[in-house]
Amino acid sequence: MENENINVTAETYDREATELDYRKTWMPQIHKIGPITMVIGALLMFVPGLFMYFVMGWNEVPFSSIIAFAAFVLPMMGINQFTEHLQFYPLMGASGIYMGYLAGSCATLRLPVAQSCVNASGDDVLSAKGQLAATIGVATTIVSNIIILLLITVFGNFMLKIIPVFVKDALGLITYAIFGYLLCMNLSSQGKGNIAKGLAGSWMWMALGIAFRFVFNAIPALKNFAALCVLLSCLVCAIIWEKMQDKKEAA
Amino acid sequence: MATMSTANFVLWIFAIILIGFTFVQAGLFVRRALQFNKRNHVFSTEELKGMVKTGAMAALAPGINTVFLGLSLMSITTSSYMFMRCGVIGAPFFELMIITYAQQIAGIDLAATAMTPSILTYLVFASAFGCVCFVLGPVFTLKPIEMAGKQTESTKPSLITRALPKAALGMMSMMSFNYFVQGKGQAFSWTGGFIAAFIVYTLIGKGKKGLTSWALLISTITGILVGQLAVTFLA
Repeated sequence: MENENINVTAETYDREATELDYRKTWMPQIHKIGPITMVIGALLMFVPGLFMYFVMGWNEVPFSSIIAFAAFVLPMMGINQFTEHLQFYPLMGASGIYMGYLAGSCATLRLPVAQSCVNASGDDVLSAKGQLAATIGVATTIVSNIIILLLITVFGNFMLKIIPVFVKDALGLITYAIFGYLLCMNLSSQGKGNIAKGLAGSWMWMALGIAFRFVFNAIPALKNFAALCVLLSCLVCAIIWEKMQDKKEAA
Repeated sequence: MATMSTANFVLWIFAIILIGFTFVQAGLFVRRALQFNKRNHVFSTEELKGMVKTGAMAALAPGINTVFLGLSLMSITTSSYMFMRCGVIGAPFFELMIITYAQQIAGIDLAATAMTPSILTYLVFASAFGCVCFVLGPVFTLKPIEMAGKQTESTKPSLITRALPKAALGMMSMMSFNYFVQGKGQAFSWTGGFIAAFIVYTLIGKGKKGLTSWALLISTITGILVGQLAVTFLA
């Protein structure tokens, strides 16, 4: 049935009309589906624990320990968690964030895949085309991740025995390699496929991000929120810059 | 007395329900996306299939990470717990951290104590509290951000839409810098990933479009190799 839906050609693609349709129809749909499913997902998360504790009676660990853990973890991580996705919004857009945060592993799995798909689409991530690519990409990872998890479940114990220690050590470096890739790909995207051009047009924002990093890391109260502070500070600077560019164009 | 196999079975059922729900959500988004595509002719059927292939191939490299951290998680908890927590909201690394905190709070040592249904129940609660804000954050913030950038009557991208990619680059540079200064292995791994991506995307720019799906996998494996070689030989 879905095959019938997608059986179209891209020959008649009209970018301007598509962007308008995206803002008028698809964007509101994203923000209708997203919040409802996220709230249901958040509530569903507690159902297994409640069922096991109160129905099955597996309650040797006192409920006060559960409350103590909640009281410890929510203030410690809550604010960071509540705002973390804002860092990824400019890199994957709204539908990718909604799916990525419900399915988990957003930064290490969904983000690189969404970026790869957006790059393959040849458009900006926050455009209609980019969002279509990111949505398809993130949805694909949900299926592929479950397949990987099933393989771990079935072959996990066997794999633990045969994998050499140096391979396990090497895999600890995977996140760093992915971030090297991500920065390069973003430069490629900024330069419309030309990395050198992307670097020439972006070095100022890169330097600004690193400079703000030193500033916010030096302020103890903001150190834990440095990434968000850097994003917001760079955003303010970028808005001012764009306004100046608009004025120049108008003049 | 309840056995671990019963607890594992019960948790498997909930894991399937929760993961099923992520599929429902993804299905709803994809359905709307495909309807939008059909209406506006953005991608052809072949291009969409190519996009799915790119997504599947790109997921392989980060998937390696899931395999090894997932194995670690499974070795200290249960297969059902690992499946549920790595398939919904959580991430393997984060779950390992949550379990460490949870053990400290309740005075449990999973290295010395055998897993029981009650401990598993406690860990299920701990992981739910440990990441509930991840799920609730986007509910309150994403819509206002997008609406701020919405200009329905103009085709020119809004100020926010033009400014966000620049701000994102600044933030990514900061995160990359953080990784870069963590140690030799991390710095070399980052550099290896960057240079490999540079080469791959240069080749793609010269017409080797087939590399698009493989770019992330090639860059990640190169980065890991370079990082590990640096750790081994520059010690």
